[in-house]
Amino acid sequence: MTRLLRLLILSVCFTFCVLVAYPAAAAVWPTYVIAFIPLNWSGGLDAFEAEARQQGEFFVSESSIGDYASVELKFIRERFDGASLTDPWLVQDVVAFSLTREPADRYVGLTDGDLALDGNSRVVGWTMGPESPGIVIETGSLAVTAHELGHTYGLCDEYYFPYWDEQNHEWGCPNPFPPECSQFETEFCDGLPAPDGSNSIMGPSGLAGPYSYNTPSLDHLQMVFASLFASGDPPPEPTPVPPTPEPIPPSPTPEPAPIDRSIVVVDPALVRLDPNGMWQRLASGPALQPDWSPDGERIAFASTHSGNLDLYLVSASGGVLQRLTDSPAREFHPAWLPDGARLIFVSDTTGASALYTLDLDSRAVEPLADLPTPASWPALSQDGRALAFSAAPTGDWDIYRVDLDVDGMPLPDTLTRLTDSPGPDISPAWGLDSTSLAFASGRAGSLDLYLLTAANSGAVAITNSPGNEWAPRWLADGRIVYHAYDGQALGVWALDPNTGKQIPIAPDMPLAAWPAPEP
Amino acid sequence: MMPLRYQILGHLLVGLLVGYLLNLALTPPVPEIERKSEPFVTQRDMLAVTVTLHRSAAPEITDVQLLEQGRVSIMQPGDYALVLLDADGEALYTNSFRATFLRPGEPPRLADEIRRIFVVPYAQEVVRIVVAGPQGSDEYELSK
Repeated sequence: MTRLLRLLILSVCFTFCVLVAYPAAAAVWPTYVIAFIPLNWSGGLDAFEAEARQQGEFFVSESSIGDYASVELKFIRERFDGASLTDPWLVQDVVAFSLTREPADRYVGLTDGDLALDGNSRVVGWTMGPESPGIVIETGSLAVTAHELGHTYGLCDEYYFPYWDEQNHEWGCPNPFPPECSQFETEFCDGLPAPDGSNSIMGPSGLAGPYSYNTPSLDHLQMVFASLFASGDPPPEPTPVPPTPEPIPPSPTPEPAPIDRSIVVVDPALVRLDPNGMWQRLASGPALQPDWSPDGERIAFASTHSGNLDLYLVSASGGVLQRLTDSPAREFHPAWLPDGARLIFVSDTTGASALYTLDLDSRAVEPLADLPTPASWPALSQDGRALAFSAAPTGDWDIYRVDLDVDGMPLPDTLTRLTDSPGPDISPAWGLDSTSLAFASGRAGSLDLYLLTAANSGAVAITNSPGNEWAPRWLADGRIVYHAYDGQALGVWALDPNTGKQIPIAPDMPLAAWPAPEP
Repeated sequence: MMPLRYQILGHLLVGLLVGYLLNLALTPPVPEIERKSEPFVTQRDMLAVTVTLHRSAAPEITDVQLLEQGRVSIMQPGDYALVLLDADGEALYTNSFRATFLRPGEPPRLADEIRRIFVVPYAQEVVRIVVAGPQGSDEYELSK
């Protein structure tokens, strides 16, 4: 019996080794090699290696790549000197230099100089997009290598909408642009934080606090690594945020709403839509908050064309842009006074945003005195004698009204608070009768449109959706145009406040916003 | 008789040896170029092929270098193909790739042409490299 048991044990051991142990031992656990190259490195090579090791180890720990492959960090101790740190094709030169020195799957050119792509010193790294074998980075921030390597696996920038949008059109972004970041009003965005509150690696560099990949980025990286190292096949196409998503659908009607006058929208360029269905790009983006002059000849709008938010003017038929303001402060929300010679606008030149007038000839700027601040969203009645605006002197944005004299200055003792709700009340728009007032309110959670009329004792909701609707403007036929955002797509809609019927104005323009009808 | 633990050890070792020999016997020989196509493995004698891709013209092979060692490039399939041919015009290696015509910059801009470098396997039978795209193709004779 003992002899039989012994034989059985030995047979099991033998069979196990033939069928399981050897094949398992022979299966190759892939090794991924990331090589660092001292690029115009002025310091010692030990310092280079120490910095490179930190950068590499940070990427490995944050990306979880070690769960799928062994990662080897290699350090080429041969300097790549004399490179132009402003040349967009620098990445290719780094790869070409390094290929002959060290076989690797990714090459990282690390410099203690100033990478200044296109002369911009704020740039701290770049790459060539998905599947690029190389990146270039500056010393200083651990997250930069992880950010640029993230691009080589298909992740997109979360710090500036135009960049994210461009990348989304080119290859499809697996990480969304943070929905809470404005695509138009905020120049930069901090990115979508990681679950533990860390800054997003795909956001901007230089933020205080630690960095991690946020959930969509990490999910994507893990999918890429699982696919890449399981089969050696190229990673699957990311599931992109559709570059041309359908507009928000409160109405299933696909036909655009008929309009009898032109409307300008931003997409984020400034675009004129004509009743015959033709459209014309009046100015490149990003533009926002356009407003037609009373004679219909010109359009004022805000833009970050020159880096800072300023006011601009363009002919309603297109042409050269005229810059109206040029200060370190932000100027936005232009609204024409009836004389066509002045604008009311918002500026944060003194800290809190406040309302001012701008004379287009003399460029003289005057504050609208004795109004609560912060204030924004100025809206003039047809006759120019009533100004509605949003203000938050107590921290909560409500709609106010003040009467203006013939010079456009507030009349004493005419300031009235029109709303008093716990949520923000913003973007008022006077109806053609100068008594009805449409505005957006977040009192019920998301932003919906409300209507104040002489007949109503309080504001009445005229939209009710889980998305956000704001920036209403009145059409001559009594309908209201506005833009809506559901967290993924923007769209411009026309609403009949009497029937509640909503129809898209430009269903083929998924980024359309800030509608402004021709007077 | 040997103690049981030595007998178990002996059977384990013999089992591993048999597993190895079985593997050798059952695995068909792999052509050199296919073996070198394995990703994430450093191989001897590889080719670095530099190409310039044009948005509205045929691609150009601008440089070819023989690397002592290299690791094959992983490519995302797309409109372009890189093919290694033997003297009879037979394709020994084909890989498809896509191009993103985006130039780095602040902001990034659409580019009319971009450069890419690919590491591909090399074997003595390879005499010609072809890069083909939607706008045409370019060839490079390795004897150049």
